[in-house]
Amino acid sequence: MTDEKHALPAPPTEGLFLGKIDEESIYPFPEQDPDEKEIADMTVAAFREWADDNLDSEKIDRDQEIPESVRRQLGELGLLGATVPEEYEGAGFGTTSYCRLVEEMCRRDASLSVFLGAHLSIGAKPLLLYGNPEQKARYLPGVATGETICAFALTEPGSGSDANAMRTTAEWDDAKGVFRLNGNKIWITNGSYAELFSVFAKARGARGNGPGAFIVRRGQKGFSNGPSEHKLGIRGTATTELAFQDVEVAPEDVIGEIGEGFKIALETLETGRLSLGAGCTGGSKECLKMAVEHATERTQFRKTIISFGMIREKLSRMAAHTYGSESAVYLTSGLIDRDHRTLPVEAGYCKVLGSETLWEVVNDTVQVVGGIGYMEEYPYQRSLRDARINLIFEGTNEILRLSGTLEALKEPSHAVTARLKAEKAGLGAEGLEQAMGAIAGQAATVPRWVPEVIAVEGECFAAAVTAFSAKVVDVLRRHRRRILGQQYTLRRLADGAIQLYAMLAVLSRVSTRIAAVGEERSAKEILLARRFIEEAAVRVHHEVEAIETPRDGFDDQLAELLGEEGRYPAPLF
Amino acid sequence: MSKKILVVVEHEEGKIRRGSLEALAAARQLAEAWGGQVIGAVAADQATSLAEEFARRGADQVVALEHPALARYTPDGYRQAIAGLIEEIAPEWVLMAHTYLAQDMLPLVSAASGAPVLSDCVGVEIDGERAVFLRQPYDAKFVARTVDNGPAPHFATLQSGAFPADDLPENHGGTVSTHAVEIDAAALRREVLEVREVGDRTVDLSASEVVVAGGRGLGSKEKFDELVGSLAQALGAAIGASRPVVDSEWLPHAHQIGSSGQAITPKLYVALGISGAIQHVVGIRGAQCIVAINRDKEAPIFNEATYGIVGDVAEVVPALVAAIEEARAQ
Amino acid sequence: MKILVCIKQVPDKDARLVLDDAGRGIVQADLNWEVNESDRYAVETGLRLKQTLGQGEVVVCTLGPDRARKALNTALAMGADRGIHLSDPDYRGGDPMTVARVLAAVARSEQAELVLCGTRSDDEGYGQTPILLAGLLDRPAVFLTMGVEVQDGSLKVIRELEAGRQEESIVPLPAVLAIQSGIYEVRYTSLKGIMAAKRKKVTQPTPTELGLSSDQIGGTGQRIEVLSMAPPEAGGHCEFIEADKPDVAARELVEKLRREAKVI
Repeated sequence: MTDEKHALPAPPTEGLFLGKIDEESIYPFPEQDPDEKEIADMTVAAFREWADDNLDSEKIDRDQEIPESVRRQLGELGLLGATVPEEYEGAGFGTTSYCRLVEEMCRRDASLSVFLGAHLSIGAKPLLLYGNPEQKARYLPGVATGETICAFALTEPGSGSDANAMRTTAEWDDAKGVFRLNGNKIWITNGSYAELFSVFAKARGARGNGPGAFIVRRGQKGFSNGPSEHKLGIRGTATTELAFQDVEVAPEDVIGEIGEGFKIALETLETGRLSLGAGCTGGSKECLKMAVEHATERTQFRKTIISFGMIREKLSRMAAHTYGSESAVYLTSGLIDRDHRTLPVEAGYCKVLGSETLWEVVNDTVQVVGGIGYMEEYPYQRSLRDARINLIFEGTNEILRLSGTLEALKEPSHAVTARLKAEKAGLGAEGLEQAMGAIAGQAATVPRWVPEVIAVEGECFAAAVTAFSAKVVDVLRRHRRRILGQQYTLRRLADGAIQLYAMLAVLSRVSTRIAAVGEERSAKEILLARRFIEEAAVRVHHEVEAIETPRDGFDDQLAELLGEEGRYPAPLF
Repeated sequence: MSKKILVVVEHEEGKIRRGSLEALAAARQLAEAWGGQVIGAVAADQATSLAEEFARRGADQVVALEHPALARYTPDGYRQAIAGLIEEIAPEWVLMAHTYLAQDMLPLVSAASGAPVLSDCVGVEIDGERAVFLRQPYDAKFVARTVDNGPAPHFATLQSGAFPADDLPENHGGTVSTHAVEIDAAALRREVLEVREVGDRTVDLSASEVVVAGGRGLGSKEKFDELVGSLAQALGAAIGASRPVVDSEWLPHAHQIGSSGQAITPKLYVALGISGAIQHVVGIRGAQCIVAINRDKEAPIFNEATYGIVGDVAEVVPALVAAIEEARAQ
Repeated sequence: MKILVCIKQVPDKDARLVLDDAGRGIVQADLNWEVNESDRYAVETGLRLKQTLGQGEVVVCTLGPDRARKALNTALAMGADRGIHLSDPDYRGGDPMTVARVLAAVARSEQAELVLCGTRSDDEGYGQTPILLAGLLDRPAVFLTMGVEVQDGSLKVIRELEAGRQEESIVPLPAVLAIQSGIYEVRYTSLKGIMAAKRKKVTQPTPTELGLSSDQIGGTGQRIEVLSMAPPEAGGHCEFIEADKPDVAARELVEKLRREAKVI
């Protein structure tokens, strides 16, 4: 495993922080294996056909329930076993195929895709990642057919982003030879009808101390779930509290080792996140379609409103941002499939970018359609409500910015440390140069594969990488380990890195397309790429330049003040 | 030698079907351009009076193909009768209306001589010695000028309404001859048990002065009932539907308008969310005034419409109902 | 009973079709393709007949370039047993007659008792291949089949007629049926079926293997020639009522229906 990892190219974001674009490993844009692609195409088409005839999203939203018949039919279609290996009766989907399925599902109905995600992306994921052969053979065939719907139970009332604060316990009962689970979990998707729960709890006793992952089946003594919560969006999903009262779990139902619980939970979430980004891409495409439809039909002042600049700007931006987010998702999934690796930082960035793109897109959609966007009988308000959760769950966007960026800063901070040591040792300019070896100073170059027609965008990208990485070196030199606490700066670095990663994905994708089919047939993609990169570059420079401006101090002071006063602090007169 | 254009006549309950008169009109066009001759063929157990009528309406010569086995249509019976006639008179072209019968039978005849059929044609151009037929491939998104480069006989079927029969003569004075044809009864492979009506025939859209119809584009059965229903009530109209609506079981088959449903001839026809597939359009060409409301301004229904509104049916219909009531109150 | 189902791959219904430079066809690059609608019903009919009979084989066949393999895979994913892909370049081009010749050769070499087709392709829409095929095979055929049952070695077939009528008849086997859309509900392909399709056998017989000479088939054998193709001439005489608000448009329309058209 370790050896394999060494053979892998560095994750693509790492180079962006170092000011060195790893142009070989991300070009050509990874394509799906033809056989896999065809299976994914057919699966998406089959789902679409089924959905056309059977899916009533308005009703699902109104009734706050995905009907049992819909869940059963998804199982019959085999979609609930998409990522379960073929040897366990599943379809063995790779990351890209699964992302494409989630994208299409989310495009049609966000509740449905969250139901699927809770089942496969996270609920069954601990078993898929860490289950032993016996556990897999026992449970996965049922998971694949959808008879055994899964759920992922980590969050507690006092433990959200901070998993370590978990209070659910698993006490080893030596007499009975079982773990006794006690505690409560909240906001558990599929809580009303899941058959199998991956439950995280802190183990105590002779079998080891520390966090563990436990399989709990519905119907076990002492297990119960609360009623489904009423939510702002994705109302079709059944989100419930779970209660564990001396629930006995046999040692055979421990996933992985005691002590590995957080590792399992983290890895589950890390790999599950990417498909969320894909789902958001699907949602964005659907919104864009609705907005364009309206803009080409609605006439005001004797013109269709698509002829007005302020509408055009929105539609164009929606399309370009969707293209950027889609490119980032499928670059990431493609690399994961191609290199058989994980890319947690990139996956997290894709979740942030996808969810925030969707939020902007849905907001613009509501604006384009005007008043009807606010009316209950039209679908726009549902899209708006459904979109919001994506910025919150499966790791808030704040946590993902923080964790991803700190991870990505590791390599550059080693280099900076080396440089600082060299300075201290009084090495000459040459020595310093050598110590910096890995890092910046010189301008990043345009990847060699960027064709002439988008050379300007290539330059734009390289310049943004140069500016960004120079700033990275700068802040690391000054703050060194203290960077861990600099959230204003980390947030800006994260946003810069996210835009750069999307630009890189867009460049790779459009260059690959031009190389394959020529400029003429790539005209649409070139336009989208130009629009995306032009704005993204501005965003990167903006973030870089805003690092450590006086605003940080104002924010600190104002937040303090607000904390003290507890309300808006200024009298009008 | 003058070119012969053979028209195979379709008839029902002792009447020539309108499509066959349209085929006659097309045949006359070819014959006149080439100085040729239009020959009709009527297959029946007793075909003479139909043949006489066809001769009056513009055929120069009509052959009544008679045999007891031709009392009702069977593909093999028609095939034998018509194949024999083609062999005898060697026509340049064989024309029929593009009906279910023609589609069921004519390719059997043409296949014998290795010929395909230029089917569902909407127009013809004469180009010297050859006829260029216009077809509408890709669901009428294009018009294709199409020829058959093989040797005669050539075969074509003509879309309903494409060749108006209005200007056919009433007293052309063509000749009629009766042929007792030989039919090999053993070769009549399809044994017809019965022809039956499907569903109730109480819905007779053909007698309605105003018809309001909706398409799948309305979204759901509830929307369909609400929108089509309210407008139909305001106009005192009968309710019709396109085929997809009936296939989705929003309405019984009796309400279906088009080639597999009813052909209607109202004063006013209103199409709500109907895109205008050709199978539907052939059923409404007899309407005096057609109003189409559709969100897609490229929808082919607008090619048929007298008046069109591009917009959301759900918004336009309530406004229309209000406007009708307003006008009535005045 | 061996059932041969003939299907065609056509551009998907929402595809934006563009004329090619020669103006005689459409640009095929960058299109999405799907199984022709009525052909899906033919596949469904074949699968149901096999299911009812409790035995037999459903062989699905298509003529077309490499991309058409996906149409076969769709049918195989629905449950067909085996595929025949007529992919040889010599098959391509052509008209309904040349296609019928190839399909007839397949039906003969497969000794299929029943051949099922759709009624009409959504692309060129000639709507005659199944009946030409029946003519070439000298078998009885039914166009617009709305129902079929096997009865004592024959078929009981319901044929759709105009104006909401149906004809019920007995047709001896072997036969050819053109299946009308809507005959049954078409099953959805399951992911299991899609995976299983990958392992099913698909053969690619050459014209020589089917005993066909190249002058009978494809572009060489065709009689029908499209001289030119163009979008239909813009609209008839439709008068569009262009008002910003629905109520204004509605009033204007009612006014015109009363005063101009005098129909209400």
